[in-house]
Amino acid sequence: MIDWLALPISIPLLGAVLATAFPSRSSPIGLTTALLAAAAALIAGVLVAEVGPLRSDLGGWGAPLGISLQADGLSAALLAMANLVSLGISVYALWYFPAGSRRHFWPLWLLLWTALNGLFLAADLFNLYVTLELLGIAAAALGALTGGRDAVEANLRYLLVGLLGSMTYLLGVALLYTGLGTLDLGLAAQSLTAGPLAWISLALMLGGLLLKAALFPLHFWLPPAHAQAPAPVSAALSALVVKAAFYLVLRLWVELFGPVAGSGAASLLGALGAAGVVWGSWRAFRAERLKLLAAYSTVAQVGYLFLFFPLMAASQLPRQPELLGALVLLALTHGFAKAGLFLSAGLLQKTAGHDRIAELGPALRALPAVALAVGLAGVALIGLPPSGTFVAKWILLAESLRSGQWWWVPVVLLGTLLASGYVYRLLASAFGPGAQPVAGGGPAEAPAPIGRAIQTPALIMTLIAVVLLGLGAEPLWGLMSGSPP
Amino acid sequence: MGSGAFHVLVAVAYRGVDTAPDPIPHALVLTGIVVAVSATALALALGRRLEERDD
Repeated sequence: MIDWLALPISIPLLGAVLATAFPSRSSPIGLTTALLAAAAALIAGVLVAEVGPLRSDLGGWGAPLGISLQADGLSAALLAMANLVSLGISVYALWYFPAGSRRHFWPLWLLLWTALNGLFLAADLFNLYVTLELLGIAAAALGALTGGRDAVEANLRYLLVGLLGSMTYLLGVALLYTGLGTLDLGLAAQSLTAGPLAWISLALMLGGLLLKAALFPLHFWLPPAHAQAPAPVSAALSALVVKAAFYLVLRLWVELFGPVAGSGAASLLGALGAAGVVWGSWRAFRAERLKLLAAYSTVAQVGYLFLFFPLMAASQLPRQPELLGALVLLALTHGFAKAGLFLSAGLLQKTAGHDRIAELGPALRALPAVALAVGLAGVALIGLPPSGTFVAKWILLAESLRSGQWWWVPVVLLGTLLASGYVYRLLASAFGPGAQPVAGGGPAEAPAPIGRAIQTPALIMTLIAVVLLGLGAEPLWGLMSGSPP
Repeated sequence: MGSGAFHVLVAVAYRGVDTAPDPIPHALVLTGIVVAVSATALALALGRRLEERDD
């Protein structure tokens, strides 16, 4: 039988090796690998949706000794999103990078992809650490690809912060292993009881991961690193790498620590998330440059994700899958929308030669498909219907009121207001009353010609975020309720 | 920070006095060291690039 869980990890890994070995043919190798990996991951996702959670022990060695992979609804949903976005980014990257830097891009990108899939599918705490570290290294190397001074500096900081985060996580794992004698997630969950051990390892592991997930106030490294990276890389960092760290937080929370941690820890996460929503939205609102705006908006969106934690802690069991579904829906929508926004930002930057928001008008009008993608991404970031964000925020608000935690409501409203502010500011540069007319046939220097084909990945991703995830999100809840609460 | 975490892991391997040390933490530390070395190498490479840009 084909092991559908191992394929999404082994295909990109093989591709990365091949792309390193044959640099002159890295583009065809990379594209083939991207198609195969995305197909394998989607099949794995469909299998989970059809037959329920999957588990596979590599080489026939089970837990506690062997390396196990597992996929439940949560992993499958994020895996499918990550691979679709990665496929879009791969197609886009074919065009984006000049021939010289392609051979550097592909091996690193495929390694990042390997780490991402491995992280979503790993079933034990130590493999999670290894994939997390691989993800961090590949991401920092990709971010520094342009070689500019600012990019190198931002990504050196990112790498060191990531290293600190994963070492803290590893220390937590060591403590947990001492106490429980197992690294397997399922086995550890059975034997973990409330007490100092659980609390200290919770603090260490979550602390390390929050640093990587850029929860306020640990987000300081994110905006420069994401804004300086090349556009396809920014898209991957914002949409996927941050989500991977968040997935790990969520996974640890629902499986290990949720039952033993008090509501105090959940409220702390929620409060930090709320601060992140307000601060990130405000900085995005004030940002002068498009990519910085998108990066700060990621900080805000990560904040929203953490608002769900106190609600999940307060809710009873039958309500939890619904909240979890809304949380995952928000994460998926943001993944697609933010990737689309960063890819559009890259196109605009190439056309206009800069990404200063106030002067982007002509470029936005020259590329109608990109303008549409930016608008759709904006719809998803604000949370207008019919986007997936709308559904998720609706459930978030309803549940806050229902459980008596009304203080989250103004936070969400303020964040939404600021989000509409920054999206409007972006579009106003092209279509608003103050928009500069195109003076004498466009910008002074001729922009690089941008084909229609290259605008499609961004457009498709934002369409998925707005239409598909908004109107067709129902199966997600079925998928979530199949996973452990 | 990194070596601290590794030492804790090695230390937890020696739990009982009369039993053999637990091999799993050792395997973990070995993997962890490999990862840490490669991350350090990347950091040094980035740092060197930064130095070149300054000149």
